[in-house]
Amino acid sequence: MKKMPVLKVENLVKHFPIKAGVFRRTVGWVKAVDGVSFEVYEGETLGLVGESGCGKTTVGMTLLRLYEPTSGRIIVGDEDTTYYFMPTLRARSYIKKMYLNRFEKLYDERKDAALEELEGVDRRYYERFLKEGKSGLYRYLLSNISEKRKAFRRNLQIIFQDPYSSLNPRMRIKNIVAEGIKAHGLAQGEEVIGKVADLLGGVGIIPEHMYRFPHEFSGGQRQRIGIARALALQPKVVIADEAVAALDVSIRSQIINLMEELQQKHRLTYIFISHDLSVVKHVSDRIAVMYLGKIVELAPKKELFENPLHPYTVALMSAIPIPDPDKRNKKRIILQGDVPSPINPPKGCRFHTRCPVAKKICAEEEPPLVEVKPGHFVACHFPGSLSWKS
Amino acid sequence: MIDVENREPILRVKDLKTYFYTEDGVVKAVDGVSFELYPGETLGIVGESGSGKSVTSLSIMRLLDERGRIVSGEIIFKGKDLLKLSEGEMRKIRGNEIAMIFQEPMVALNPVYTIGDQIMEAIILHQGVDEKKAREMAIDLLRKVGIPEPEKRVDQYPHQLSGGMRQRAMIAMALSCRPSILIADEPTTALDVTIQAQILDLMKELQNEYGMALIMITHDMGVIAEVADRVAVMYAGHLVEYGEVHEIFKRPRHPYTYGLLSSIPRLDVEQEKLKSIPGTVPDPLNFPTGCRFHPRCEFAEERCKVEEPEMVEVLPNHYSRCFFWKKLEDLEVK
Repeated sequence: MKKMPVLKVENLVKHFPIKAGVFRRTVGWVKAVDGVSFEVYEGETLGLVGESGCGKTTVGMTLLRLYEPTSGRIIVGDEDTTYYFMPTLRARSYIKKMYLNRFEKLYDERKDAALEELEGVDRRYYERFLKEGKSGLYRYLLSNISEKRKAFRRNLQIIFQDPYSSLNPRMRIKNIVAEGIKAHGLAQGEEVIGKVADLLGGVGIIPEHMYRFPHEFSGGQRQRIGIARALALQPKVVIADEAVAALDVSIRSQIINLMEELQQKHRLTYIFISHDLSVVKHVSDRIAVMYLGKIVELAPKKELFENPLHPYTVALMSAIPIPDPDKRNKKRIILQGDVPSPINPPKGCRFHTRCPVAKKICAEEEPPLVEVKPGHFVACHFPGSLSWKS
Repeated sequence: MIDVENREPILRVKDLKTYFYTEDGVVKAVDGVSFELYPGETLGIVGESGSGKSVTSLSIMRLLDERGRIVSGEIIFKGKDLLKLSEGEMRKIRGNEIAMIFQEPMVALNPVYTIGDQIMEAIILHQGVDEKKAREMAIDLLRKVGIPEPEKRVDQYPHQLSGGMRQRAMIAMALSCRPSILIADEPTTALDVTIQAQILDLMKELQNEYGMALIMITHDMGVIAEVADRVAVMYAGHLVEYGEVHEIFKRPRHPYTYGLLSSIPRLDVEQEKLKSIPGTVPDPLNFPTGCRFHPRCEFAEERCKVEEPEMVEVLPNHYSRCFFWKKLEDLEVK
């Protein structure tokens, strides 16, 4: 039986408008995320790695619906959550287009037999469509939208990069951590204090310090508080966006270890976003490498490091300085030039302008992300053609 | 490798103390630092935020802000103590014989002058050539640091260049007078790894060509292992370990260096759980008594709390500021 993903992203797109002139007309689009698909399974850590501007943070923010996706589907558990935060009219038209019209067509063609070819949410919703009709499904999807939103927020939480700007300086730690608990009615009165104390204790902050303000803590301690806040609602998935990037080396390993302990204790699922391949390698079970708004390679960690197939992955690995002077003179692949602008990404394969092994077809045709081995996906016309051994 | 025994250092820093007088009290940012730099070598200074590594370099350049004061020490460059020079004499050395590049090129470059103007300024000031000649030299330098279309770029402003290109322009500026010492303060920290690889590569190449000595200041042990001949590890305003790069990485004799090396996630080795150094970096207004690392040290004993250790030579040309460095003899960095 296939494992059921806790989170499934299909063809996620997020374009930001560029406005200019007196009338703030849209003159172009920043294609920050341009068709990204992946699944995340319960209890695992998916690493999302790439350089600045590759869209890794935008993926995280869009998953959390801090940005509204331009298109694509975000499925959490067995519900499509894409429309949860859309304005009513847009949500209605999304549901009509995505499900009602499509299902109607399927039904006209194949009747009940269409169920066989559907899976996941599509299958579930089609069953309901067959049982309760178009209006039944419509009502089901649009009912209790505010509860659905709350459940969504409970299930997905985030740890931010900068522990200095992500905690409100005018709130006491207790209130920062308790805010979600109160908003979701998970505890009342004295119970709240007890819960906050447990949470802070769990991340290594002395519970008596809950009446202090953020400025009274060091960077590492603040990041612990940010983690306590993220865990307060017992989320299923935690998105860690460069959670250790701003910390000193000696503090970084403390936080990484803490996050791993908490993952085991609470069966958490992490999406770990980072530019640092060494850190991502340490924490992840599977790794997705992003370049200019696309996933170029996705594989289980061991497979990715033993058998990297995309030239960009290989170049990225070879570029990282190894803290061992004996390995100094290893051959290194130095990419020429800079990352192109996501406003006007290159045609064909987006990496072809910097790729040492690019051929003619790379400039013309965009390679799709295909599964070359079980669980190993790569988007390249000539996978494995660039090699490098440390 | 540099033969330390038989060469005259080009720069010798002796017992440097730089304090900052703030409203909250005296910050002893650098508190008795000594090291030598030999011609043509790369000395890596590594430490975490607040360890004093940047203040050390600013002290050498005498670029401290008005609250900072060099309280004592000597900085001997080619036989002269830089701390005794007048501001005018120092100017002839700064940017000419000792040049510096910074972490964030967008902040270090002046946004209202073109790249060319800024490079030419140093050339005209120190080499007494006319503007036309200086412009030619600037274009040559830009070509040398790998900037495409240097004739066009020379008239562009910093914001028109990418981060990597700006850092290249900074390097061009620093090299314009063929300095004998280049101080690079976290030159690649703000850059992506693929760009970092380009810049480190370029710096090595240019160092070989120009034969200059390089002080590389960074928090990244990977960068140190990549470029340094010798390493100075700083913690809380002190040098805690100092020696040849293989020595430091293979046989660390200070618990801080050892902890630092064992706590980095590695691309090249499998690690189960990361080792970590407990606690946090101490408050510079209020350093611990005795050894400044003792509250976080797994080997600390009573003596460490009250008595401050001196630098001792634990192996030939390998120094450590620890009473119990022998405890680390059997340990290996994985």
